[in-house]
Amino acid sequence: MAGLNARGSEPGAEDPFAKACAAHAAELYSVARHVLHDREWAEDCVLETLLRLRRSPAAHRDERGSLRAFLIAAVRNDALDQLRAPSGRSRQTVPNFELPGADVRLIDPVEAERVRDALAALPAEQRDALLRAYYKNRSLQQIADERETSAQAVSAALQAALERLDAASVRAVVL
Amino acid sequence: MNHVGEAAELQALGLLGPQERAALERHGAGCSECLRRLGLAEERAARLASALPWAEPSNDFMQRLHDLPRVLAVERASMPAEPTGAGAEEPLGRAQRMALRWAEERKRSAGLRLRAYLAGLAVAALAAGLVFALSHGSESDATLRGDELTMSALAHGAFGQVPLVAGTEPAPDGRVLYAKDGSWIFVLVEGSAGRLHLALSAPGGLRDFGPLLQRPGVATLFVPSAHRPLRVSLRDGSTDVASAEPKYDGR
Repeated sequence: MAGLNARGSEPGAEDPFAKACAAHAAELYSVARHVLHDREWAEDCVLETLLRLRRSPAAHRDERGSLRAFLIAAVRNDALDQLRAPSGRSRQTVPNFELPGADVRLIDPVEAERVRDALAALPAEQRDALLRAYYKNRSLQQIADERETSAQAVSAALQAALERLDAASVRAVVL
Repeated sequence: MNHVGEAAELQALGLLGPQERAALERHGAGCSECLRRLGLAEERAARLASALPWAEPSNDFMQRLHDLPRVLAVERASMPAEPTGAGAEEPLGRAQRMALRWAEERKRSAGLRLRAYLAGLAVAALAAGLVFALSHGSESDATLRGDELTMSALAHGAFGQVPLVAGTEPAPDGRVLYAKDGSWIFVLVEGSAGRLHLALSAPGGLRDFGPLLQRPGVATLFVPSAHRPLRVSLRDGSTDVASAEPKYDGR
């Protein structure tokens, strides 16, 4: 992997891992903070994830695509693991989370506006599943229980929602 | 396993457990098509992160992030010597090889692998610090002083160590090294740690840091952000197999 392979860097050369960490640190912290709701816990989570990835020489390969997206998914997955573990400090979620308004600083306000429009264009079932999964940190079974449907149905809705979100983004760029 | 299918989207949205994700990663490592699908799903999901509220990380976090490469350098330097092919080069070069050779000689003369490993750790840490200092001459004096202090803490004994005490039998033979200020923990177990996990207990609760890293003859794990845990334990499921209680300064 070109992105995170520690052994690929010579002493004194610019470290691609360090560069990626610095470029995305605040964003990764924001993602972890949204899951864990605790500054110290979220900071530890990000650092532990980055250490874990660095220890694994094959963690990311260029053909996988965006390093930023990979890091966000890794940090968020680790944060959710900690939240859902029996020894987790709390079981809190964000029951009433709504997409923030214009008065709240966002990770990427321009992209957030596109996401908001794309979400609004989704069928209600898909939008609801996506909001519960990503912004309310629900598990697949929790979403299925809350919507009184099966986990398989939720899974299919989420896959379709992500594909539509992508297509909406492409249309926005073309227009 | 079969191709990843819609599990790629579930992974990207945080809806799979660690074992399911590990299975996906193993498959993706040998299947370019699925690796690209995982990446595409992550790219799509990452768009959703754009709409999350921005949270400002602390200066302490940024400093610890800045120190990560050095933490990893120390970890790599503390690894026991492994057989290498002709012409192979260790990451830290001659200084590390000297430190590891010294540790190996200690091991043979004392016949105590763990003790030699501990001694080798201190020398290797010093070697890592030296290599780092030589290669970062352009950094500010303040940054360099901070890094030197970190290395110096490892190399010059500003840390304590306590043996792991068996909670059940059989228990692993090992030690816990810890910063006197409680800022980091380094656990070493002689031989194999098997499936044991490292857990740190603090007033806020118990945290599982996963399995130790198995190296030739020893298993280790370095936790850079330990926050003065009261108890360090190796757990098999929910059972404490061995534990230790560090004694920090000011306690």
